[in-house]
Amino acid sequence: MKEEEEAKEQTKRPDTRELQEAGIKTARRIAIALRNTWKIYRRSLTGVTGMGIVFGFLVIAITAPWTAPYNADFKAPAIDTFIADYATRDLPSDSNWTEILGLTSTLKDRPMERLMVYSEGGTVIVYPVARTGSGEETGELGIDIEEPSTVQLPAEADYLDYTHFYKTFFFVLRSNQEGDNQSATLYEYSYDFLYIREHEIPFVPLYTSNLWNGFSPLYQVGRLAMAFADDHNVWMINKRPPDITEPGLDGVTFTSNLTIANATIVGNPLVVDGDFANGSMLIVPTDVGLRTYDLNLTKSLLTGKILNVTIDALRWESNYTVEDEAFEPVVGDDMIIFQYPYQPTTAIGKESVFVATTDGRVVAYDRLTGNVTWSSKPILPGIRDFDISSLHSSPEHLVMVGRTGDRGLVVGLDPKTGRVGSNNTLFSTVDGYLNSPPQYVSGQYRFVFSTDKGTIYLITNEMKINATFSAPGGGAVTPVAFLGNIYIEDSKTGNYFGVITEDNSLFVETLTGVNIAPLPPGTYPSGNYYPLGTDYEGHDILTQVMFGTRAELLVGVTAAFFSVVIGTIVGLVAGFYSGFVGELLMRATDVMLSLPYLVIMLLFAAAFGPSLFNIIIIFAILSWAGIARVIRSVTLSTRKRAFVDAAIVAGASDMRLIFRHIGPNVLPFAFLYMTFMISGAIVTEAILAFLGFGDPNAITWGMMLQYLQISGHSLDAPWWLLPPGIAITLLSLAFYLIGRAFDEVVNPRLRRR
Amino acid sequence: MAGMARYVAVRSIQTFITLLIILTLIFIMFEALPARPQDLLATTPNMQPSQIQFMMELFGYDRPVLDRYAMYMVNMLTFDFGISFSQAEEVGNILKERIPRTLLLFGGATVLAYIVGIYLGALIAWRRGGVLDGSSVVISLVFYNMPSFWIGLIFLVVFASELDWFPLTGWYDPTDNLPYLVDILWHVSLPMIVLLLLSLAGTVLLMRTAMLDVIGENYMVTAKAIGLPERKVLFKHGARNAMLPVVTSFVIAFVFSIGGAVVLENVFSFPGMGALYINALFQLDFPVAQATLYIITLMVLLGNFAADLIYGYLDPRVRM
Repeated sequence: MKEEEEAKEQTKRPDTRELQEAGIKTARRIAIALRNTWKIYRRSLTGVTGMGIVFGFLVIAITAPWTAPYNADFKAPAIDTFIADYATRDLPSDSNWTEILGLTSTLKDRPMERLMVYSEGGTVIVYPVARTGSGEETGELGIDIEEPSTVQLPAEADYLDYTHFYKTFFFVLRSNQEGDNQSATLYEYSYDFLYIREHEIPFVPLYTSNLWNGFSPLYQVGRLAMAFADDHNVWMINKRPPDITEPGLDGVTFTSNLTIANATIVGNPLVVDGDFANGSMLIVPTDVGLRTYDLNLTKSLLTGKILNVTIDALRWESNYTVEDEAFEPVVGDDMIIFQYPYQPTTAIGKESVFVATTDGRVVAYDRLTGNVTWSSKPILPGIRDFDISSLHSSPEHLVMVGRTGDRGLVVGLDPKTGRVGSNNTLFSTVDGYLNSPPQYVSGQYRFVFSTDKGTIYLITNEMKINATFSAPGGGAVTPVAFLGNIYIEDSKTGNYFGVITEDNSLFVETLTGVNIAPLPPGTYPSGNYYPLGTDYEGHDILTQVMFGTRAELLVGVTAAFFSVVIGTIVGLVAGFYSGFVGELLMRATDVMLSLPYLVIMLLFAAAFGPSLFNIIIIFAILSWAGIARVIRSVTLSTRKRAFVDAAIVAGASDMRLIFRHIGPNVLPFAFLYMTFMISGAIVTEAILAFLGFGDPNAITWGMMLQYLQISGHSLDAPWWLLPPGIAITLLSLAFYLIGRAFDEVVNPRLRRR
Repeated sequence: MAGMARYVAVRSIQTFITLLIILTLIFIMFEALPARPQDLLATTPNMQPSQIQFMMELFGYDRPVLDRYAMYMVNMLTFDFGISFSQAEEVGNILKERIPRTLLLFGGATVLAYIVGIYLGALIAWRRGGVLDGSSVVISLVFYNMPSFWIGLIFLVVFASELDWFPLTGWYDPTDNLPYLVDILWHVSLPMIVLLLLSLAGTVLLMRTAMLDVIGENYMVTAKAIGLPERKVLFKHGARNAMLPVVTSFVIAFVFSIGGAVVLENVFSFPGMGALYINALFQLDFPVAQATLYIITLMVLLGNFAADLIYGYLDPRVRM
């Protein structure tokens, strides 16, 4: 500190050699003082112990990337942490495989019967699957992929999907762009690929709607509908099951058209049909607003069954405004979505249509009238900035997918109100942006999705991470597809997901395996040795503790430094101007001292959001009072000393008196309290993190213990509970010991004890 | 006695002014939160429209900031906290249930820590350099620097989970077949022991230092020289004088202890003020968070005030 000031003065007046000499002299004096201090200091066993421990942690913090057993973001591979059933098949290497579908059959629970992959060249490989194994290890039966058959479909398809509609149908879309002749063909296949029907679409579709399936297996009636659109045209196909009075067994297909002249379509249209009257509609997002068209149902006079569905008149039109305030909708593939608020049977007519806005709101429209029922900006404690990328429906929540920083975000919204659950906790962040929609795993009340980093997530209905998976062989190259289970008679396999891996093979694995992490210390099937075990996500505890040292030292030293700076300045000023200003500052200090600072810190942390930087600032703002008191009393006594009077006589300004003459004399005390403050800041950070106000992007010891608590392993994983707490105690104790030893140096009176 | 009365009056006024300042600070901090209460109210599924209307009128969420401030101050000072957003219940009723629990937990721990700490601190200072002194100092230092929640978790694992001496969570369990008060004490004891140990560490260290200061004084030497029994010298002459700085630090201990109680309530799922406060912060339940913070602060200020009175009683000089 002193040297810096010397240096500053030198740059101001470089020509005065006396000052330079004075500087050298001061430096020498400081060196001597330091040496003498150390001579006294090293007699204190506690001080040297504290120094040693801090030095040890410092070495760990600096060398962690080289000495830690694993990387900071290492996770134990699934083979160690997860007992799951999986199967894999190599794919022919001459094609790029772009699609994976798990075909379900007619049975209840929609069991999976086949896996299917599609290549750009049009080749489709169909693998029948069967259950296998005894299920002893995982409690479930395994999967066996059988010998495939190959089918040739149109090459370079733009769209491929299937649905089970009294029997399974595939739809494949291929555009034909030859000169001015812009059109497309929709191919319709039956389950066995024997039946083909072709439909001409008079434009090249840019947008594809949902595949609405309103089939009732009980009555063998219903409708299937799907729409394609470009900038101004909509083309809809609908299909109904065959009537016994009609020839042919493949049902009847109808098409209808719509042209929107005075607006441009900007996203996927939505077909909302159903068995209820007066509610079948087509919703089209345009650049000026949502437009909804009635679907006109033609019924058979003889049987009352619906024969045909056509696009009819405009039902409602709603531009993008809420309470006369315009908003910008998030334009994208899943731009508008539709959802039942509760159980479908009791909610007829109460359904909503949702649109996300670019400023992070969700707007709900009544689907029958187009009136805005609510608009809400989801409140996510701890996350201040996020963008919404898409909305998805699920049986219970409206699922919002978004981005915050470089992490992905999944949020469950109450479709009735737009709130993030009843207590704002239904959300999680994941390690990258989502590249697949969250797919609902029926029967398990979970969602599965993947991120662009290749991680596959299984999350609970409460939007909490349940398990993560990664594909073998260099990771996944396709987004994850939820496939279903194999259900035969009373026994079934677990639910499977599938991806195509980088080494060109098909990989399917159960979502319902047994996660055995946190792992106790030991060596595991992958050959990895975890010296202190792992946490529930498979992070190596020793590695986390070592990397955690960095954040702890950073937070401890920086927070303490700022709080000491504030406290020292307040103390100096209060001590120097002992009149009104000093009295005022001291009253403020007393108020600060009588505040329950930890309780208030929690409020600050909730207000400013959890990050290490905020924790540092909050700590500094709330913890300076104790130091200010001490520094004031030292200032008061220093002020009475002769050299201060001499400086006053010499005409020194107040600032010069405070910082040049009194300041250096209070610095030892400031330094002393800084060591105590570091010790306090480290424990405080841990407490904030433990209570859920820590930085989720940083590895700290407090966060390790918070994860322990929220994962529900606090009573059964001592290898996870002990190391971070011991580390916190040791580091905090070490700084405290340094402080005590230093106290003896500064207050020689204490030395004889 | 007139001196004491004047002292009490001055301290009361000072405490009240501090309370006003702190209430203002709490108001500013809630204003600084990114979420606005009227937005939260608009999307609250639990509350009746009449309740929402009542809250809007009580706190004037749509009024200018100065009006809101005035309404808030009046409401807080008259203990009219309104209705909880998340539970649609009167905050007063929720608090009524919880305040005694927290008072029992941390009040009990603080008082016990003071009684035991002063005795122990005086004793180890008296026998300084011995095994008792060394081990107590080391143990106190370690406890003083331990994160409260962690030692709480360890006690939970060892004494509640492994040894099964204490219940894991809660406040009262009718299935225990114990008399009501005994069962409550049984539930409170584990968190209270942890809080006691944590608070004890600071008091012991402080008392030891204060006692060491006193031991060298002439009157102690005199007391010993005239042949008074050691116990009398230690406690009547030594400890009584050494206690003064320890009582002064009661404020800090009190603040420390209430922070510890908030954390430990969350570790032990103890349904007190601290657990309520953390929950309210997470759920952005403004009325509950505001009221809890206010009551906790009030407790600290009153504790502070009481400590001042005791100090004034012990040391007549400060009354001047």
